[in-house]
Amino acid sequence: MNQPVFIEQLTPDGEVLHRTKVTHLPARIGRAYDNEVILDDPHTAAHHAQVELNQLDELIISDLGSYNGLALGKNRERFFVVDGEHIYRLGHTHLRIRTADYPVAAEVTDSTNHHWEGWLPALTGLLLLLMTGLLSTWLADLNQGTLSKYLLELVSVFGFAIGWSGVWALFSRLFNGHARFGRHLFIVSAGLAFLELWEHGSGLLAYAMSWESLQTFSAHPMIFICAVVLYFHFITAGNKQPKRLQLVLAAIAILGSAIAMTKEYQASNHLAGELYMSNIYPPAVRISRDHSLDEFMNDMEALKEKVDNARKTDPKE
Amino acid sequence: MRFFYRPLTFAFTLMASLGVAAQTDTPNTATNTTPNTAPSSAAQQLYASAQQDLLQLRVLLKNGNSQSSVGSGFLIGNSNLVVTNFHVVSQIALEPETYFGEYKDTSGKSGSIELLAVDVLHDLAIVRIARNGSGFFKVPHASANTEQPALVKLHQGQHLYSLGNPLDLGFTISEGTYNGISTRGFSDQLMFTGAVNSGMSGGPNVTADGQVAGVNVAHRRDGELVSFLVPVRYVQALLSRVTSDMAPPEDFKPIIGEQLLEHQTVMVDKLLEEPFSIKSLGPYRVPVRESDQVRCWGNTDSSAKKAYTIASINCSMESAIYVSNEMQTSHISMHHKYAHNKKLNVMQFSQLATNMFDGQVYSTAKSETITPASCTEDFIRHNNISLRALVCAEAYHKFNGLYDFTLITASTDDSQTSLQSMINIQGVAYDNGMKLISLFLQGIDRAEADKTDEPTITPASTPTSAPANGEVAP
Repeated sequence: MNQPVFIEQLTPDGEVLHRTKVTHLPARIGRAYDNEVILDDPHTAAHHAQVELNQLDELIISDLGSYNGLALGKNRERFFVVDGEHIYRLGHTHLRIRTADYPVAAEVTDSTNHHWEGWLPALTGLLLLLMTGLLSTWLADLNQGTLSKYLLELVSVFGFAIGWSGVWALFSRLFNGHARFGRHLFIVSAGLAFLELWEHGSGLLAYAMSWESLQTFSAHPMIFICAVVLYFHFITAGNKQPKRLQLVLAAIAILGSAIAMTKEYQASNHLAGELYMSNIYPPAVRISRDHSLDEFMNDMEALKEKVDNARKTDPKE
Repeated sequence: MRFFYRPLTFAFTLMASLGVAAQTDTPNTATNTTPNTAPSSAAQQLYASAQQDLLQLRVLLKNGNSQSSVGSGFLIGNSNLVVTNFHVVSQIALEPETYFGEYKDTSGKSGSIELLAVDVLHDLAIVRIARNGSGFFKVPHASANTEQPALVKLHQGQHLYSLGNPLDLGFTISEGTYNGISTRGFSDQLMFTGAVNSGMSGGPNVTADGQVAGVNVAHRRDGELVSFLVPVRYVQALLSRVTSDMAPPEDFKPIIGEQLLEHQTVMVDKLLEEPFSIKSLGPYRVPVRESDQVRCWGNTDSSAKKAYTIASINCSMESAIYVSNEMQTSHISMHHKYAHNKKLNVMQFSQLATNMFDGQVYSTAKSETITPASCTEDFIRHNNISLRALVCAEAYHKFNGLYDFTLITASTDDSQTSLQSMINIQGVAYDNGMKLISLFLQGIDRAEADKTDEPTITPASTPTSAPANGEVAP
């Protein structure tokens, strides 16, 4: 054998814990100190397995007669021909064996946006919060409130966003080593801004186009926005399986929507969160056409059948 | 030594009891020695002769025998028929599988009752018991289709006496005066200035010479001794449809439903006898109805500090029909609110209009009496105005052909003013509901000339406070 062999100890998730370079074969693996690769797994034998070349000059891993043996998935064998991809299990230890000429995958582009860290996203986030906070307070300010009211509103929004991103930063630090507080603050601020924007935008659109369901079902897009925010938080905190995360969050969002609708249905017999579109905007916003009084009365007449069908008991004629 | 106290304490108790006996004896001996020569009062005489025909009626839960409601009643003539209020026995009529009734007379005897007839509109019912009256309470009546005999004529200020068992404390008689007929409802009620308390419902109200004038039915919570009686002519009418040996109806719900349906026709016809009167709210015209049965109140909130003004007119029917604790029906109310912008931005003003429009109608799936609301909403345009309108309808589970309606509208033609109107209609037929809503919608309009005028607010009337309409059924 003219090139070194690397014996890698992996986590159950497939991440490399430890890598040993072996230049002379056979290399023995086990708990004893005379092995080339020393394991700290009590479920392995003192001399558990060895990596060697067989007569066909293939690299193999073979069992040295241990109790727990050598397994690939559910197959337990005396020996396996090594191919650099498969992970073998010795007791509770996961091993992968690669030679120096193992072709590695191409370099991936930087998906973590390292230039978007620190004070820049934090400041952008705070600016977003300031704008949405002021806008929503101003819109709801019908009694011409004082400056202190605006400040109080801003303080509570800032307090929430900072507390929330603090928790995520701690989470990131624990699992990823980097807190990335600025990025988390930007994510939550953008999320809050989107929620606010959606609330006003959807109301306006519903009113302008007479799309009542946009308003009466507004809870579900909000649940979706929250799921997206959580996705970015998790990715920033170091989640390495975005596909799986997307599926999990989508499932949670659908479950959330279903629970919301069930609750509404039990309380009011309607799936919508609100019984009717309550938003009133200035006349200039309207695009959809007006209906005549007769059309409205016809709609009302059509309700009769619906109401009659909703009776629990059929009263005698 | 210890036992020495025993005879001593015994002696003390004996003395004490003798002392008490002596004290209580004194007035007794006094009354015995001086015979009661003063003439007894009219009330005393009345009670003495009426008491054997006076009953307490109770509705009990079949399961557990516990008491659910208590009222009074009285035996008619020498028959076994007892007159009482419908609301006293409504549970027996609506849920005979859950409730049953019992009577108790002044001597403490009790027995079961059997519901024979109801008159929901006038809050009357007739039950049968296994005992006959002594003939004290007479209500002369003929059979249903012949002319009824004349009844006692009452004069304002005349003394009247209500009998019954208030608050389940014991049988009482209360004295008061007759004060005319109240026409606030769709059928007459006598006004009685005397005490009528809970538990006296269904008890008789008689003149000094023992003629039945009416049946105790309600009092006003916001007044003192302002009580109401069902005139005896409605008792007469109900009695004419009942015989002592008739079989009771199997199910009262269709009968009640029919009476309610009949009443709503009268109610809607009366309401629409003449077209809605039109009031001004700023540049807008709104429909209201003011009559004996419907009262309107106006209000403005226009403090200089506020960035907007709101003026309102609220009209409400003063009567409703009691069907059960969960269900009072045959009621209509109308509300108009007019908001005018003074200092707000257009978007802020639209937020105000949104807040006013929001949360006015909600749908419940939990109600046992009505179905959840089914609604339709639209932008509509008619006359000089465009509106956002929502109408919701609910059907009564137990009464065929009866519905509740709510209509709310908001004007959508001006960014500086908002007119929001509402009509609430309870217990009418579907076509009547549609008729009322259509007429109400047609009444909402805007005067074309003064699109940008300052608001002129002319509410119906401006009382210092809204009416406290606390009529309660005892």
